[in-house]
Amino acid sequence: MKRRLAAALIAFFLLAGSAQAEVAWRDNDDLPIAEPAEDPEGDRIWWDGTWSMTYYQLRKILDLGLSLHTLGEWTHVVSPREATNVNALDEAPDSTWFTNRHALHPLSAEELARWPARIKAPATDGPLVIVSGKGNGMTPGFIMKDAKGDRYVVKFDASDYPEVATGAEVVCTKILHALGWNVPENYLVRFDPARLTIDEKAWIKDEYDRKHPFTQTDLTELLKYPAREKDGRLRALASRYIAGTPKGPFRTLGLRPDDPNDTVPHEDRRELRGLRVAAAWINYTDGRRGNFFDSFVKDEGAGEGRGHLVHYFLDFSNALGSGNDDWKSPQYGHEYFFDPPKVLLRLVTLGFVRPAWASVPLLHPALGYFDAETFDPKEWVTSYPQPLFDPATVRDSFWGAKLVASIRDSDLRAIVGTGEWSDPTAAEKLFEVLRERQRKIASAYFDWRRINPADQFSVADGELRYRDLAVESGVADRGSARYRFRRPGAPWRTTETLEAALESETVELETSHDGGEHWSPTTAVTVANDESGGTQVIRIERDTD
Amino acid sequence: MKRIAGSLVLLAALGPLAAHAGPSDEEIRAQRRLHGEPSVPRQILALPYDIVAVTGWPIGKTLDWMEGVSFPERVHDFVVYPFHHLRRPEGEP
Repeated sequence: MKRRLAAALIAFFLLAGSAQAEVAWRDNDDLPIAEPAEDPEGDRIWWDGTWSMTYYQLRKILDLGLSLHTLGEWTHVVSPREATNVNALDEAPDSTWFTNRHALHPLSAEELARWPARIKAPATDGPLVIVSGKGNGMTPGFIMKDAKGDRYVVKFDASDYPEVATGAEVVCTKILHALGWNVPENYLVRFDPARLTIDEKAWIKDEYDRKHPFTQTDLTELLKYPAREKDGRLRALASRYIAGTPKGPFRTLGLRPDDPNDTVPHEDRRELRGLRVAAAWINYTDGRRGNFFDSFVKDEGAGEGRGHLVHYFLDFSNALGSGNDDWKSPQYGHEYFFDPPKVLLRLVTLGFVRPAWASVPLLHPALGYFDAETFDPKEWVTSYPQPLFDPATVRDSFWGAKLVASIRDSDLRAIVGTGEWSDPTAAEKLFEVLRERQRKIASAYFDWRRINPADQFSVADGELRYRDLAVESGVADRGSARYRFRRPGAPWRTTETLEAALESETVELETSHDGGEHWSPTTAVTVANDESGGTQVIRIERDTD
Repeated sequence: MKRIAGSLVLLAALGPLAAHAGPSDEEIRAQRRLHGEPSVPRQILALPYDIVAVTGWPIGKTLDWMEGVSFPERVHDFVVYPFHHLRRPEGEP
């Protein structure tokens, strides 16, 4: 099953990209299409939450194709359903969904912290013209135009929770961008409220969702909400308008019917399944459909109105320990907001069985309740079930963990520093927690009993060289690590080094982290000569347990 | 391994398609479309859920509408409206 799938995928990407036996790193899903319709109700949370907690759960039972397959997986009759858009190296190719950035081509810590370019940040002088209220979302704010004419969605910290939401949002935006997902260009800004003016056509919605003109009274009311800096300036998160025309959130299951480029069911996409690991790392519990976003970008020279969709992830003011306008309950990440089995357990035990999250201490007033001690990457959940994350397999999670592990300590320290908390200990505390959560992710998903943690293969001097991600992440002892390799069918040869003799085009590798007593599932690596006479890795097939 | 070989044969056969200069958008898209519609047997297996899912449509539309018009706020305001006159005007001690 796995091999057939891998073979089909190789065929898929080779056909898509090139006639040569090259690894496809780019999916051409940006071909010009006619402009799709906007989904105006896609960001509604009530039905999305209800559906995911009821109908989606029923689907797992009543869709007999799914339930029989699940039964087959439990009994080891069939293999898990693997992501269908991976390339021959088991990687997600770049597409309109994802661009493999830091893990593939490491950026410097300064580059990671510097994105997005300050040149596109709101102008530091001149009027800031309010053009409308913010629309939906929990944090009050507005949409403004700066002196350059650029538009931004502006959000504030609640007055009782200064620096909480803005800090979380700016840090998490940079992390997800570095890892490869499409996110808005979010800037942490400070400005004098006297610079704010109101456009004569500005509007705001009332509590009944009806539009009315944005008045000075509305602005006065709104400015009562945010926390102020000591000098009276407002600290805010300015999110630059995403290029293109909004088309509503993308679906969490299946395809977008009016996008011919969308040919891989979303729940089968590696970059969407693997996002779960990164989301767990930063506690992006609000990773729900309403925070996904499709934008239609017109392609020059492609014909009247033709272009393609680009897929984004929004709103990280609910990530880390932030709860948009306060501290997030530590329940989130550990339990769904309505989690019947766990509620029942507490009911039956009359509350004597306290959940671990109930004892999570406040990390820092600017960070909320965010910890590593009670964090279990495999048990981590969004605020309600997320169908994109549900089908993630060992290989998907391994891939996600590779991205997370690609952020080195110096990178993380630089990114966390961009939260610009007034108390420097906040950044240090957040760094420590994120680093420990990163280590737990490595421990969970570079587990040699489930998958061989060997990766980053290269060929040099007639040998296949690679790295042991578990050892590099510090979750396995180098002294007890053993490696063995063979050509298919030949006897194993055991070494303590990360090198394997290339005696055939395919080499099978296994890893042990208990001194060679037990061995990991096999990873098969195939190499081929390229046009320049060198040898390249052209296929990686990972078995899992 | 036979399946890999089969796919490679398929590749070799279809290779010229990809190598052909300037295929149209539709041609490229057709090549990408390996994951077509589910087979008829698979659709039949999904039928029990499809039947139940139909009941979700009116619920979904109703919830979307209720959320869109801020239904809880409207109900709240309707209920408390008769007592509005009891509220102390702003600025009055």
